[in-house]
Amino acid sequence: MKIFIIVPVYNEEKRAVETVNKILKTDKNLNVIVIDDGSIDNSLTILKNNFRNNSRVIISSHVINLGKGAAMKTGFKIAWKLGGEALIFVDADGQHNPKYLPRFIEELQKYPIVFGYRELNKNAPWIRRNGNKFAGWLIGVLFNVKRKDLLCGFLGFRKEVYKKIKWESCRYGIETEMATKVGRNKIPFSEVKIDTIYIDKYKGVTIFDALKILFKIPFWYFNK
Amino acid sequence: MNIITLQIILLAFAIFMGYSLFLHWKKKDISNNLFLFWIFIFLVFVFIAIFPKILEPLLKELFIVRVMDLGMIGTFMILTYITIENNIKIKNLEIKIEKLVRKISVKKVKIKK
Repeated sequence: MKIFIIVPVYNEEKRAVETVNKILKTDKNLNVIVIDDGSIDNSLTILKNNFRNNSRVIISSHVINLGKGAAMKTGFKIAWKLGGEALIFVDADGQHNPKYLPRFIEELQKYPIVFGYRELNKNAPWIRRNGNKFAGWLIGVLFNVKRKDLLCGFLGFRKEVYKKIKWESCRYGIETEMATKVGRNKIPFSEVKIDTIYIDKYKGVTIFDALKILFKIPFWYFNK
Repeated sequence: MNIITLQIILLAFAIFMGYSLFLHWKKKDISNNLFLFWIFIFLVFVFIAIFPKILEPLLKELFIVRVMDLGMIGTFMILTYITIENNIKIKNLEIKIEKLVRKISVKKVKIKK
């Protein structure tokens, strides 16, 4: 199975290169597609300079910032164009430890979709821990899907399920939307435990993003 | 604030809007028809602001006590309509922009050997 690792990047000039290098080290057969989502720092230049001669790394970019969900969609379009059969998304900021990629690949042989989950212990900020739990419970009740960590962006899927989980969210909310579609379409999935790493307090899903996601839930519920 | 003060404020607002529309029309931001349509709307607005009593038969019919209440109800209805329309248009624009940006991005991919 030809698997691509998709790394959406937005203003990650300090960490993106390290993340891609770690991914490349985990498995020699893995190819990485980096999508720079209109970064306003030097992420794109730094990535291009570092991986110009590396045939395992494909770099593309959005001319303007569209959001993580949109960058992920571009990544998968490129992966399919290059003959990919499955893909795994890894955040560029180092939140997702690539050492778990072999586990994801193993699970993707058995299940069409694989989600990562973090142990939401006391190390996680209170609001994130409880917000995640509440959202997980709500999605579970409404869409009949039990997820251990609804907001984890470390996930992968096989090409054949894309039509069923095709997401519309451009920004954060894509993981939740995907979970609702997995529940609605009764797609079998597996979950892989990953490390809980919080790098940047002011990045990732903020309370406002969480509220926006909350408001979208009725839309996803009635949009059958 | 008595009714005359309120009428002056409404008239000033209508003149300001008319001037703004005129500038956009001169810059060709809006078509002749659209300009005439908005001018007509603001002329109706001015007419009602000067002669609010012409709405009294309608107020009785709708069991509304004051012209102001009718104005508020009308305003909310119009604003709701405009908000929904704008929301749909913005959403459609976002989708078009996203598709365009993605098309450029996918096209840019070069396979290294």
